[in-house]
Amino acid sequence: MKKRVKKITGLRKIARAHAVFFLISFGLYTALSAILTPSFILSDMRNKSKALADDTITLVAKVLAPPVEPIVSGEAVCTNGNLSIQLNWPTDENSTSFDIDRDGSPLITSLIESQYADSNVVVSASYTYTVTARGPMGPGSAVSKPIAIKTPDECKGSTLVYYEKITAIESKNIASLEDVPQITVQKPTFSGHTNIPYAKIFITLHSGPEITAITYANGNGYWSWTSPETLDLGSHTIETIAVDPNDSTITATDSFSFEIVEKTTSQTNANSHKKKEIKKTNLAQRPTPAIITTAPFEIAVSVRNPDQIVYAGNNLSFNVDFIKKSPTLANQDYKIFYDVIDSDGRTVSEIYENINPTQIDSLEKNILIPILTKAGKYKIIVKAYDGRNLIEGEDFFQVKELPVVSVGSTSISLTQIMQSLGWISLLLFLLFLILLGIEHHQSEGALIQITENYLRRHGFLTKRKGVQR
Amino acid sequence: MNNNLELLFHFAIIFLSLFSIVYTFGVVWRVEKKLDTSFKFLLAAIISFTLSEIILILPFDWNQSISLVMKIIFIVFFLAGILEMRHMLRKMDGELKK
Repeated sequence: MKKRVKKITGLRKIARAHAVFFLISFGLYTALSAILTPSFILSDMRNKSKALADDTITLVAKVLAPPVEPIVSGEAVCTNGNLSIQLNWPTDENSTSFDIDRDGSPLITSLIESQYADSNVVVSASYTYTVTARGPMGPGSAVSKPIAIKTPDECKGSTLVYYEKITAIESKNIASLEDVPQITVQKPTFSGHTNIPYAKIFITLHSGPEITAITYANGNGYWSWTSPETLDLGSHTIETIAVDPNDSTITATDSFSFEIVEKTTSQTNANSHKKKEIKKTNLAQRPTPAIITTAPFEIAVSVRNPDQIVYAGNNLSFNVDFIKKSPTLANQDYKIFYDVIDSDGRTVSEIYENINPTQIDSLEKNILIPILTKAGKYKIIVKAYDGRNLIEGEDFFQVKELPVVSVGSTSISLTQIMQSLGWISLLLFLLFLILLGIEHHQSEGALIQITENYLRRHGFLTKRKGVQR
Repeated sequence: MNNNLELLFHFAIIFLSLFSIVYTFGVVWRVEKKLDTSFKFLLAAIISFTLSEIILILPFDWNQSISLVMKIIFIVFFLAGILEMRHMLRKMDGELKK
């Protein structure tokens, strides 16, 4: 038995406090880096070592603040019979783009100007707009207060001109691209806008094997589509045709050419500041082409679940219609893929089967939505591939999940718990440090250090019965 | 098994392992000599095991291989701790000469 006698001087106390503070800070830094972004710690260490290696560090940087909440003003304008709602908000150097929602649904995204004219409006109606400013700093976005604008009861004049515009590629406004639009993403996302509400958007992507797809605009005329296939490097052209769902004679078209380059090539070009001509043509000025592509048929998908809502763990039910375009459709099997894609473009489920479209006009399908699927907006994409053409149809649906815990109006689902695991890990680590501190404090108060001799003396070891030594 | 559920079980293992580390530290701070040595080995084993579980859920290449290495380190330390404890008991028992 020995008594613990420790004499701690003031200097030693300070040194110990420093050591404990350093250990806790370093532990928190490491834990946060490892849990949230494991690659961060490596890049941070690399940057620090580089900074230390340089004799002189010259840093020229413009520190941006988080995006400022846009203060939106607007009015309905009737000019020569063209009715529109003009929206304006102050420019903000901290914001890189703006998204506008109308009546709770997207209207247009990736705007670079701080104004917008919404011509997709009718007389004697009220529209509510919110503008979301997006920027690299802080939370990354700031949402304006909603503004309601009523259109006048009358606006007569010239006839309405229908339009369809591809507005953004990979969340970059096409109008802002000074060079030939070059991207590095091989499954790019396009978004556009038409003044035909709920328009059926026929998309054709000319890129080696032709990709044909159908998507739908929302009530505001906004649509978004992601290429289901990885595109080759090189030039591509996308053509879109918006068709009124109630009157197929009302159409508007647009097309857009872009280039997919390797990442390194793109960066080199960006540094060299070479100005190149923009290759963008608006087919709206030309006679409307017939909605005919080389694909022998089209695929139309419609979700059958009530209100297009599916509860996690239940089946997604949908119809697939094969609309024949060529009377001499080859009697052959097509590989039909059924992909469920979430709002971030990730594939949630993917199945396929072989079907001969000449022998079948439509079919009903059921796909189980897993119980742990996160709530949100999804789409079902049906793709047919014959080795040359990719034909695609899609429809949207919403997944709602059953709560695990429900207290009053608040409910927590299993997915929400899983998404919070990063924070749970941090709290767990803090709990670990606190418990360790308590344990250490308690052991400091112990009067004796227990050894094997102490155990023997105090009868922790007794003679075994029936053993003679 | 579902990935999310698997992750949840991993977190439960890590959670309980952290408690084991804390209380094994408590024992190490209170004992001396052979007991201290054997518990230090056991502590190192538990830390290796916890690290192997943490590494397993981190999203990077080689995580499974590193986790396996950590598990080997775990069993080596665990064995060392048990052998140390066994040796101490045999000595106290008089089975081995002092």
